Amino acid sequence: MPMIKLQSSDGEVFQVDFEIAKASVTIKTMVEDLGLEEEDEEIVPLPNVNAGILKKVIQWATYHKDDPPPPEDDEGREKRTDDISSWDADFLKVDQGTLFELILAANYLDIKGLLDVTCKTVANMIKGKTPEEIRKTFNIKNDFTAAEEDQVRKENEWCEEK
Amino acid sequence: MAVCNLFENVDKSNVPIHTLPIEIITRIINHLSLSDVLSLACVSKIWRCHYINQNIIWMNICEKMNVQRYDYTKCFDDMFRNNTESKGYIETTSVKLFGPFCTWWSVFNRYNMVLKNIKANDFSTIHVQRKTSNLTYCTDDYIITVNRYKNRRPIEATLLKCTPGPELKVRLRIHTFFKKLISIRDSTIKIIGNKKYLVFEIHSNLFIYAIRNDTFIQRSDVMISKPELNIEQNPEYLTKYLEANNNTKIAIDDEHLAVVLPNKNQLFIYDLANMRVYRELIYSQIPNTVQCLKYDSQRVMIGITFKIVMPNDIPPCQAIIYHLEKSNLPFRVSIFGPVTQFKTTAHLIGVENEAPETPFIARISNIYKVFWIDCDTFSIDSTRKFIYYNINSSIFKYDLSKSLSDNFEVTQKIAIDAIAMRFSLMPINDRFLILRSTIPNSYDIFDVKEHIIVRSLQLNSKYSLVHVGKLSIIFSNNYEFIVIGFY
Repeated sequence: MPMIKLQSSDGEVFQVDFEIAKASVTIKTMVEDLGLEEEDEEIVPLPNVNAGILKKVIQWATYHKDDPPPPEDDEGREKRTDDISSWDADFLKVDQGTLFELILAANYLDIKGLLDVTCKTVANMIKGKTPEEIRKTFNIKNDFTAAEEDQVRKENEWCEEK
Repeated sequence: MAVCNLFENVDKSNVPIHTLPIEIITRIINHLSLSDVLSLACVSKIWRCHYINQNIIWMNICEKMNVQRYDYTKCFDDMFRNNTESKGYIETTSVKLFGPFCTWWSVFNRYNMVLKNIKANDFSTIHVQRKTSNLTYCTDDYIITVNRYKNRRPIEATLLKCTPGPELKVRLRIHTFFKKLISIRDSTIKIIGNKKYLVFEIHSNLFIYAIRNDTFIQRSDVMISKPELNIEQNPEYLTKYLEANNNTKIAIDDEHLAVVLPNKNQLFIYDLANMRVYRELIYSQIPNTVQCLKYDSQRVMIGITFKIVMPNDIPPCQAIIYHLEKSNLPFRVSIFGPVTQFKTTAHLIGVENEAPETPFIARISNIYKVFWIDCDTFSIDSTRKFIYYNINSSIFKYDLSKSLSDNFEVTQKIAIDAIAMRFSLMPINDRFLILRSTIPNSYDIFDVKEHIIVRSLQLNSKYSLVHVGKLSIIFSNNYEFIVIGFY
């Protein structure tokens, strides 16, 4: 089976099955653009992803290697967040920093399935929470003046169709 | 989700969420409900003014609520009521504190204002004198009256404004041939219009006006089906020509016009800006008559009845749906009754027809899914994901999400003896329906969320309902129009 070598931002090299690495549109395009052949010794540099995160991404892509391609973001599809598989939910039991780094890596590597599931996980961290609970969850400072805070509260209350 | 609980305690070594690019944050927000989006807006200034204040977020919210931007632009044009802070309208103060809202958030605010005004019975009522006219056409923005027998400028437009004061009347200039067709007693005049264009169709002749700054500018005249003989010199042929082109139907979608010619089974899509045909399709191979045509969001819906006698078990009617941006091939649903109305949301098309079996067509990821409800008429509420339908005088609620996802139909009777027979459920928006009450000459505004009537309108016997729009409803008798505005 053809393999490909991926180098993380901190210099670590991972040898990955090419079929698995192709989950990343970025890697797939780079390989095509560089004209890499099977068993080529060329290393594909990934300067935006560190070794720890790249390892997790490879782990995710390996588990999902036989998945059908994710559907396009098109009309008619309800944006659900309650459809995360138990494996993904366990996989994403990480600290916030790692989760955000996984999102950035999925975005850079253009892995739609991973980007979807990580974004859904963050959305689930917001759902049903009060503004104060959201601030606490993400360590966000409330920088509204009293008048501004009063107004955003009014905007919220004013809405008929919440 | 179990995952959520992991993050209840703040990890102080966090990479802050603000390090994520805005397109990722937007992607996350697009998974949230309106209530969660509003909570996020209360978190901090950058969330209120930057992350939440984005058109793509509010466009998605508006789409889920079946709110179209152009339906509410009239409220933007006239800020009279919006500036009245005493009415509790929040936008003026918010703009002072946080800067302008993005366009789609403003659209949402105006939709919300309309809901509040209806709920609070806070309506404006305008009486517009109606002179002798044979035909009228109303929108939220103007009333068109046509007087066949008036020699000079037989078409008049009354512009409806938000601000109090005398309404503005405009007489439309028309060409000689147009005037001649109008004056023929048996000619059938069809009118359709929006904020940008007004189109008259008389036996396959189109007369188009562009609407700019309260003026109706005469544009192209198009003879779709050219007469074989000179009409002026062959009066007998004129009758034949009129008959042959009698069943043509028109529908408008922003700057495009759909025209269906049943005598040739052709569908034309015109670009109204230059009156060029940019799509021409054959919608049927069987002779037919067209009962209904609707055109919105790049979808053309045609309701036809076949002219040939069909075997008993074959439905004689058909609903034909084109998604123009996707394909030239239509989706067809056979039905037993002629189509009376297509009622649509962004993702669902309901086909109201004279038979009880009513199809609903959902298009999910390029696949059509059809389900059926037995009802007289219906209205779709995409905000709460219900279909309201009536059987005789009772109203029922059909749970769309449960029925579509679990293939398990959930219905609930929500009102008994609520409406007069043979009157379609007419939505003002997703929240309020206008119903003809069982009390004679009385109309009710029904709140589908609370299942209550919020207002009853009692009229004299001579009035009829001539327009239900997002911003107004209009009643008319021989002498006047009563415009009830929610803006």
